[in-house]
Parts: sequence; structure tokens; C-alpha cells
Amino acid sequence: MRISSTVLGTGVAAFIVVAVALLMIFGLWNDEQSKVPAKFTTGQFAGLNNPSDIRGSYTFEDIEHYFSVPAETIAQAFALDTSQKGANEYKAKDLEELYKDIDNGEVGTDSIKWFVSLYDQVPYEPEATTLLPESAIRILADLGSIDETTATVLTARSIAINQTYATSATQEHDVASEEMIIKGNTTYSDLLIWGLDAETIESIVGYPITDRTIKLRDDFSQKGLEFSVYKNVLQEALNIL
Amino acid sequence: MKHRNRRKQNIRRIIQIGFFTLVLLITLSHSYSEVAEFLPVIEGASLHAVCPFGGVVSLYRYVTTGTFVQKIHDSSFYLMLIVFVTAIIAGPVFCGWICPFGTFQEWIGMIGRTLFKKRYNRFIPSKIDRYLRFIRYILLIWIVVSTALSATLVFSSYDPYYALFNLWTSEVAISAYIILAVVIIASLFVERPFCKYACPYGALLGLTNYFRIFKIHRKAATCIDCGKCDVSCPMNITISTTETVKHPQCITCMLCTSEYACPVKETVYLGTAGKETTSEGTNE
Ligand code: SF4
Repeated sequence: MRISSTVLGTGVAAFIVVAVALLMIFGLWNDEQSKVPAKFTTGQFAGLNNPSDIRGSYTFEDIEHYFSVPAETIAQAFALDTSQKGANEYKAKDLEELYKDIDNGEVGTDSIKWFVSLYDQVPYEPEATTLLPESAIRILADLGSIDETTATVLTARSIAINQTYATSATQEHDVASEEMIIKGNTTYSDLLIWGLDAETIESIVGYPITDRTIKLRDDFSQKGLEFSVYKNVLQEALNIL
Repeated sequence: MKHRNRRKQNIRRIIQIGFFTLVLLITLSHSYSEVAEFLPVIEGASLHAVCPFGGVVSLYRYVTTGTFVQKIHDSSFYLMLIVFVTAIIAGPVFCGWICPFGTFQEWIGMIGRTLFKKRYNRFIPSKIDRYLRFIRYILLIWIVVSTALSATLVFSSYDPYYALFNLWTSEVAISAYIILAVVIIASLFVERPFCKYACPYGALLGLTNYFRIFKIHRKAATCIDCGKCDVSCPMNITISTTETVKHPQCITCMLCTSEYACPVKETVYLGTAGKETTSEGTNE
């Protein structure tokens, strides 16, 4: 059996168009970001949505939908101004920009994952540098999601919002510390000093380093990369040095 | 007879232009709401949503967690399956007829062909070319593994296809712009350089050339050994010494067949390995 180029071309084009049309008709064609998070697959929480799969693009409304944490509660926990922008419109990754001036840790998507896991009382292991605002711990304690002991432990990894904003503006970047942990003020120079070569860094971030003194967080935000995601990959590379 | 050939070749051009325009409109509508209002069917879709390769790199995460890699959607997954079905039937016909980036390289190649005439697409010595063609397999493995490990689209920072259709946005990494510029310049000398040496999706689809149902066949009994099929092939495949093209780089463009380059009727054709006919004749 032979096929001419006319039959081949029109046949393939028609097959693709008809297949997509049928998928659309049956409601299976979804060309917008799927927000359905992964679920716990084992243990007592099997079947529940897993906060570790919360992505930076999730709005607080999405989080409310999938994790039953009210958007207003999240906004209050992270001390966000809801007079101009509704609580449900904020995205998890917005925190990275809003809290970008913190020097002793990070408040970002990972903080949201942590907060949601504590609220829903499901397991989640946050990054070593992830912080929660004190307001978030107060809310969790008030709602009874955490007991007094846990609240005390968490306070060690919290920030007082006002104090953060008051001090961060004037704080300069410190030279690379010995502990090799990527924080909000870590620069490319720090990574290089710690022994990660430029080639490895560039292969992870996907572009050449043009300014070694820029903070990773600022550079990622300019390039549209999510700090918490790329920070983890870089940290893993550092850990195996 | 020449008129008939040109008309048929136009079909590939029309289909290529059609899909190029569709993808362009999809990416424009993603950036400009006016375009989206004009074409509500494609509203909200992004380039990632209509890239079947996104489905491939998401496979590992989909199997292990039931979700997709960031920015990948159900649509990418379905397109991957649809394109795979076409590839089982007729090989990487997607590359030769549908892929907008292949089309773009062909358009740039028209300038190169005008400039260099018969020397076009013959600059790289075959000894070197043979090894360069392995690069796309290395890239395929690297991309699939690193995407599985990081759950992010690692290739988008290097993807010239993404850069081309997002030129007007701030979403493109500088590395992708540089690679796009290299591809454009290389296309002036080599036909489809990205497809030949770097496309991970082409590498994957090309493997179907070993077992596809409809293959390019050359009927030795009627072949006059003129070598026009070899000269016409954009992927520099030697057709004149084989009976069935199983080369992993064939893109089923059909330029080598008796409809176009081959001057003898029904001598080079796309078909199953059935009983060959004995009819003879020339196209010219
Ligand atoms: S010219 Fe023939 S062998 Fe070469 S890519 Fe096209 S169909 Fe395949």
C-alpha cells in the first residue's frame, strides 16, 4: 500500500485537528496549568493533598480550594495588606518578593507549604532556612492546630514582621559564611567561594552568570525563576561537595 | 508534469504555514488579550501547552506522582500521544510537516540555498557530521533525567523554539536567545541544523523509523541510479543505496520520492513493504 504526499499531509493534519477537537468536546483538553496537587500515597494521610506540592503559581484561593485553609487566614498569617488586593488573589510566590529583604532566612513558597501542613496537621519538612512570621504561629496556636510546646519551638524559627522591615533595609550583605547554606542574601560569589564551579551553577539556572555580586534571590526574580525551587537544586549541589 | 509536482509540494508548505501561524497566534494570545478575544478557542493556552515534548519530559513525574512538571498541561500529554500515533504510522512526519521550528529553519534555509546554490547543506564533512548527530541523543537523555530530578522545565532556558515564539516577552533566558541566533546563522549553511544535531524530540521520534508502518522505499528494479533522491534529502540521507529508509533522521518530508526528486515513476515512494508493482515511467 502506498501513500501520496497529499494524503499523508492532509491526513496527519486532519488527524491532529480532529483528535484535539474531540478532546475539547469531551472536556479532556486542558491547556492551562493544572493545579491539582499530588497526594500522600502511603501512611495514615494517604489520599490527602500533599502541601509539599504547593507551587509558587498557586493563588491563596487555590490553596483554600485544595487544602481548606481560608485565603484570609493565610493573608493574616503572613501579614499581607488586603486593602488593595484581595487575599484570594495573592500567589504563594508573591511572598518571595514581599519578604526579599530578610537576611537570616527566607519567607516564601516553602513557608506557605509549612504553614499549610501545620494548619492541616499533615507532615512536611521545611528547608533549614525557611521562616514563619510570628503572626502565623499565633494564628496556628489560636486555632489549636499546634500546641504550646510546638509554638515555642517554632518561635525560634520565626520573624517579627516589623523588626524585619526595620532592619533589613540597612543591612549589608555579609561575606560568605562557613555553613554553606543558601539564604536570601547569598550571592553567586558565595557559591563560587564555597567551591561550586560556575559551569555547574549555570547548568542549574540555565543562563550564564553576568554579575557575581548580585543576590541569587534578586537575580532569579528578574529572570522569572522561583527562588525556592532553584535554591534547593543549588543547595543539593553544594551538599555533595 | 512540473506543475503537478509544484502543486503537491505546496501542500506541505500550506500545512507548515498553517501550523506555524496557529502556534504564533497561541503565543501572541498568551501575551496580548486582544488576540485572545479575537480567537477565544486558543485563549489561555501557552506555548508549553501545545508542545508534545512537554508530555515526554513529564512522563516520569506523571507516573510517580500523578501530576505534571511545572508549566506542563494535560494538552501536552495528549499531543505527545497523538504525535506518537502518527510516528508509528509514518515516522517523524510531525518534524517534516508540522513542527513550526523545523518550518522556520527551512525558511531561513531558502536564503542559504539562494546564496550557496548546490553547495548549500554540503559544508560539513560526513565524518564530522556522523558524530555531531549523536548530540541530540545525549541532550534527550540529559533533559529527561534532569527534568525528572528537578521537576522543572530545565530545557526552556536553552530552547530556541521557545525563544523564537517569545521574542517579545521577558520570559526568555539569554542562553536561549544565543542558541536561537546560532540556529539562524547555521540554517544559512545547513538544512535544519537544530533538527539534525540538537533536537531531543526529533531524536526520540526518529527512533520510530526503525519500526514505522509506512516507510520510504526505493524499488531497485526501476531505479536508474541518478542520485537525485540523495541530493534532495534535507537530512543528507543516502537513499540511492538502500531499499528501505530506516535512517533515524528521516522526517518523512517525501522530497526524495517519485512525486518530487526521483525522475522515475513509483520508484521511491512511501508505503508498506507489500508486493511491489512493476509499472515504470518517468516524471519528466
Ligand atoms: S528526503 Fe526522503 S529520506 Fe530524506 S528526510 Fe525526506 S523522506 Fe526521509
